[in-house]
Amino acid sequence: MTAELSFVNVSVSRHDGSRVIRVLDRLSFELEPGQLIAVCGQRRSGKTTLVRTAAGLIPPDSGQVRLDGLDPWARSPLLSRAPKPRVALVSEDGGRRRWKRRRVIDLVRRRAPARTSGRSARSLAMRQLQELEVAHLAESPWRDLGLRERVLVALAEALTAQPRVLVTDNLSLALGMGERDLVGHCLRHAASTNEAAILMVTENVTDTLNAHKIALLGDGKLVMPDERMPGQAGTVLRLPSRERSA
Amino acid sequence: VVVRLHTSIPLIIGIATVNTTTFGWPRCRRSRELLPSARRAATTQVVAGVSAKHAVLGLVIERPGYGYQLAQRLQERCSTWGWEPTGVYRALETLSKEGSLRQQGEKGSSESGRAAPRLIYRATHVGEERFQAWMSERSKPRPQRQDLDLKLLFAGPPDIPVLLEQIGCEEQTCVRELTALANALEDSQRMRPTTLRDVVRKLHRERDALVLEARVRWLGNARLTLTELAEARPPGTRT
Repeated sequence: MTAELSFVNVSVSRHDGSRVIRVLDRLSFELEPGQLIAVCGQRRSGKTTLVRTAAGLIPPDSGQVRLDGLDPWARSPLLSRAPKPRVALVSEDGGRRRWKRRRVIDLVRRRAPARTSGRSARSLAMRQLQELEVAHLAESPWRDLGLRERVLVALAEALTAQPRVLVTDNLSLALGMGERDLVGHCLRHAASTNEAAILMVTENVTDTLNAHKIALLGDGKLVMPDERMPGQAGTVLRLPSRERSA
Repeated sequence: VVVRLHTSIPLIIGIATVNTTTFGWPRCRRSRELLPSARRAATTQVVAGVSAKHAVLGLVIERPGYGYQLAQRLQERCSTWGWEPTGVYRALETLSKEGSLRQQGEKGSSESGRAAPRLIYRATHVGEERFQAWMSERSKPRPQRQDLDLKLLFAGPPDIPVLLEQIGCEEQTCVRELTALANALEDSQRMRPTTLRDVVRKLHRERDALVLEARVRWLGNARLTLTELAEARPPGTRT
């Protein structure tokens, strides 16, 4: 099976004054269709950088990111006429909207996949809003929503688009306990029904319990169970030093 | 008689907890090697030192049953506690000796009654009272003792590379266990729990996950600190 999202030795650095800090250090992993992977990391462990790199928003310093079978940095995305990867990103505050007066149902509806008729796009959007228990907000304008509601609506938008790769950035920050469960369940459901590859990044280890695969992010590196040797003690990790300056 | 019985309950339980049938790691008889289940449990002793006695008593009070059935029910209820089926039989024996359970023969399960007769265990009045007393007494938190942590206490500088390797292995084992914890759940059970049993089960799962996370964080920190130490000082020099 081909991977929808793959990282091969991806490194990303950040400039802090004259210092260069390596935020992601040679990460390699693959995400197959229908798979939900949860990455758990503490604050400042590089979670948002990982999310933005996986969504094709940050170019890697070295290594390769492949999204939906394409390399998002192969050519300048503005000049390229090549098909764009179908990726959706849900950020921790639900992201910004240009038209703040627009109703929720219109925001979600316009995300429906291409060649969907108006009526079925609306029903698709309504179903997604119902699944996330925010159907009562359908007629409210975006600017009236609270943080919690914005996150849930943004997730409904992303799920309506039926992307090949979905990346979520620490959604539980804005959500309560029950909603975290709901979001986890919806993501799992989306992975199995839409065959989407989902990367869920979170701070809470309890959110990861809905995932197929779990990895821990620390010091720019991922600790993942080694699949080559199931049931045996894992291979030794390369030991990172505390100096992350490249 | 009733008053005497009541005053003697804490005493009996006090003795019982001292003599608890705490189960060691199950070993293969022949090779003296740890079974895979024990190896797994040995890496993360979430439940070391807690007796299965009260769990078995609780199960019998809920519904009488025979040994194998009880072992299966215990496995279903407390799957992450790492208790072996043999422990259930030992607990049943102890409880019967104490008078908390009484045995009752039953005819074979097949229609002709020819299958092997089973001993059905039922809780006695004393057993139920003891269980209630256990439920209402205050329980002490137990320290978590891990083999690796003890090794660190006695390690010299030449041992550091080996220990770093072991730390790396244990980190991966923790992540694998976390994954197993997540995948043990059916999709239908993922939604909001409604009954008390489901809620408690979910809480237990979250507890297991948090314990594993704490372990991984500590291991990561230990790895970094020891690596720094090993790099600062050439190996083989003992202070």
